[in-house]
Amino acid sequence: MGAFALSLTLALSLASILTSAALLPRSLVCANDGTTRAGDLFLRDNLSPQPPALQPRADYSLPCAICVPATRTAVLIRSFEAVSGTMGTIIYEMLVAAAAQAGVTLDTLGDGLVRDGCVNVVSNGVRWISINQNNHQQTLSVVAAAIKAVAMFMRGSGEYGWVTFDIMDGMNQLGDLKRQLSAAENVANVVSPTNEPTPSSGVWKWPLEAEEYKRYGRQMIMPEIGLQGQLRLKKATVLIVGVGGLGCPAAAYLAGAGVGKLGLIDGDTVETSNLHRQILHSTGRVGMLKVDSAIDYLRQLNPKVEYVPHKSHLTPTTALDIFKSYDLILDCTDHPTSRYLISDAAVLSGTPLVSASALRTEGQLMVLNNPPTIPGTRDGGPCYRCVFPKPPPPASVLSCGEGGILGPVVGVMGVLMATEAIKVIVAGLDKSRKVESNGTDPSMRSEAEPSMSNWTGQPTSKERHSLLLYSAYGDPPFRSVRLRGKRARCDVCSDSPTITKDSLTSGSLDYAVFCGIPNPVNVLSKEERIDPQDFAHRVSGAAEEHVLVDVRDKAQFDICHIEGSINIPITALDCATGDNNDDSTNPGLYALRDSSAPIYAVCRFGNDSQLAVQKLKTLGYGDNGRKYIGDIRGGLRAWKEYVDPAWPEY
Amino acid sequence: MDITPCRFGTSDQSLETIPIAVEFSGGLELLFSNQRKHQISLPTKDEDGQTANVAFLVQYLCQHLMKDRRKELFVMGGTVRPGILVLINDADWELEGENSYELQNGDNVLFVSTLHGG
Repeated sequence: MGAFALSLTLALSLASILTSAALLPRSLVCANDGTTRAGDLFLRDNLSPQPPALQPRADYSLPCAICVPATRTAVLIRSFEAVSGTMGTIIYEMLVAAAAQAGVTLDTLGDGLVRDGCVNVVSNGVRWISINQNNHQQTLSVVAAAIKAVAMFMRGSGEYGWVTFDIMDGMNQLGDLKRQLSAAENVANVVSPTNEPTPSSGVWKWPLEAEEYKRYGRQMIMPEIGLQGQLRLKKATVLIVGVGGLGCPAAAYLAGAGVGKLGLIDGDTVETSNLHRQILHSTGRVGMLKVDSAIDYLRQLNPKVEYVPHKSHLTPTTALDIFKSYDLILDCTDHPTSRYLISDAAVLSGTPLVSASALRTEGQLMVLNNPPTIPGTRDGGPCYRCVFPKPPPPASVLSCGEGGILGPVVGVMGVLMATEAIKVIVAGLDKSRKVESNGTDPSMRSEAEPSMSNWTGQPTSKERHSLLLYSAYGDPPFRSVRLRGKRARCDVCSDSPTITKDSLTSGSLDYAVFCGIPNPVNVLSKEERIDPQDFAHRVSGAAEEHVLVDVRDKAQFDICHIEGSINIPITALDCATGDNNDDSTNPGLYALRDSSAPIYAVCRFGNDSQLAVQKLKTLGYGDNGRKYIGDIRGGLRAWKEYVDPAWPEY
Repeated sequence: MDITPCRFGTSDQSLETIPIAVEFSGGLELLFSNQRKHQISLPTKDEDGQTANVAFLVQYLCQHLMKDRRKELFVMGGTVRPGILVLINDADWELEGENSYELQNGDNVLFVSTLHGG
C-alpha cells in the first residue's frame, strides 16, 4: 500500500514502550474528576475532536494531559510530534485495524472483549480509548494486545520505525502500570525482531532528547533523513565563511536542522545596506559584528546548537587551523580571493565545500571537493581551481554593492547551500579523509563509515558534478549543467600540487596578487578634473551654461540625479561610434553635439566619469579642444560630502 | 545528430550555415545587447575552410553579435577569458573538447560568467 510509505519511520522497534514522562494526579489535570460515571460509553467517532467525557484542563500539547475516567485506560500512541492530513488518516486506519485485532486477541488472553472504543487523531498522536466488556479499566492484556496488534500490522506492511505508547490509567495506578508495561514489553519483544535494551519507566533511553524528537520530527519522518540522518546532523560540525546574504539563510537552516556545531567567520559589522537580504541581522544591530548579530539570532532559533564565533576575516595562515575542526565548509563570501583561499584550504584539510555566489538576479551553486581529495591521489571531486584554474580579470569582478543584488535571489542560493550541506552530511561524511594538521598519513585511513542506505543522494566520486544556475528572470529559472571532474594538473588537488599545506600556512601565497587588484582609474589630466565644490560654484545660479552628463545606469539615474543633468550611461557611450546613428539611439548625445557649452561628466564614485570624458573626446564632442570636457572628481559620493549633505546616497 | 545545412546565396559564393542557440548568463548578456538568448546562423566553415568549432564561434560572436566595445570582458588571448564557463548542451566544454568542438546543427552554447557576490 503506497500510502504506508509515510509510516516508514513509525513502527517496529516495539520494545520501545514508554510511559509518559509524568502521570499527573487526576485532580490536577482533569476538569471532570469525580463527575464522570463509571460505565459511560465512548462511541467510536473519529469526527468529534474528543469524546465528551474527556475534558483536558492542562495544556493539551502535553501527552499526558488527557483525562480518563476512573474506569478506563487510554493508550496514546505517538509517532512523532503530530499527525495530520494523510498521515493522520493512515494512522487512523492502522489503529482501527489494530483495535479490531486486539478485540480478537483479548478473548484468547482471557480478558473481556473490547466492546467499543474510539480512535482519535489528536494534536500529538493518535488516541485510542476503549473499555472492556466488563466495564473495567483496560488491563495488561488489553494493552499487550494493542501493542502486539500494531506491531503485527506494521510488520505486515514491511515498515520499520518506532512508536511511543503513553498509557494513561484512569485510576492513576502507577504501580500497576509498571507491571503492565513490563509484561507488555515481553509481548512486544516476542513480536519484534529487534532487540533493543528494555527501557524502564522514567529513564530516557533514546538517542535524542525528547525535545529534539519534536523539534526535528518534521524532517526525521522523511526517509531521506530518518533518525540516522538526524544523528549525523547532530554529530556534524559546519563552518560558514561569510555571514552575509548567503551565510545568513544558510546558517539559519542549518541551525534549524540541528547540526551539532556551527562556526561563523566574518570580520565585518552590520550595515543598513545589508538588511534587505542578510536576514539574521536587524535594524537594532547595525554596527554590531555580523558574527555576534547572527549568533544572537541563531540562539533564539535553536539553542541546542553550539555556535563558534570567528570574529575576523579568514587568512591563509589561519585557515587550516580553523578548518580542521569542521566537517563541512560553506563558502558564503563575495570575492575571488576568498573563494580560492577557501577552496585551497578545504582541499588541504580534506573537507567538502559547498560554494555559491549571487549577483543581481542570478546565482550559482557547486558542491566541491566532495568526496574530499586524498592528497597525492586523483581520488575525489573537483575543487574551485579545477573549475576555474585562472582568476577572472579584476575589471570583470562586480560586488553586490556595485552590481546590485535582489534579496531573495541570494537568499535562495543560501537556502540551497543549506540543502546541499544537509545532503552531504546525511549521506555520511567520510571523516577518514579529513587531513589532520599533524600530518596523518591519509593512506592509513580507516574504512569509511558504512552508509545506512544506498539512496541516490549520496555523492560518490563516480557521480557527475554539476553547477546549478539560478536566474530569476531566466526561462527556465533553474538550470543544472554538467561540470568537469578533477583537473589532472590542478595546482592544489592534483597528484603533484604546487600549493601545499606548508605554502598556505607560511603565508607565501598572496591571493590578492593572484586575483589581481583593479587599478584605480586615473586617466585624466589635472585640467580635465574638477572638484565638486568648484563645479557647484561655477554653475550656481546658471553662472555658466553647461551640460552635466550623468553616466550611471538609467536605474541609478532614476533614483536620484543632480537637477538639470542628462543621462548617457557609460555602456551606451561605449557602443557609440561618433556618427549620426548614435543620435537616434541616444537623444542625449544629440543634445551634446548640438551645444557648444562645456560638458561635465559625473558618476557614482568618479571612475566611469573619467572613461566617459575620454570616450566623448574620442568621439569628437570636444570640437578639437575648443569645447571643455571634464569630470567631477570623486563622483556623487564626493558631491554629498562637499556640496549637498541632503543627497540620498544609496 | 543530423546536419541539415541551410543555404544562403551571397554575391560570389554560397555560404552554408547551421542554426545554433547561443545564451549568455552571469552578466555577459550585458555585453550582448542585454539579451540572454540568441538564435544565430553560424557558417559551417571558417575562413580557412575548417569546420566551424567553438574557437570560431567565439571569434564570430565577437565580430558579429557583440556590440559592446569592451571585448576584453569576453575574450582574452584568443579564447574566452578566465572566469567564463562554456557549456555545450548543458555540459562543460572541457568534457567536449573545448575550442576544438565542432558545432552541430541545433547545438546550444551557454556562456556563463562566474559570479562572486554573496
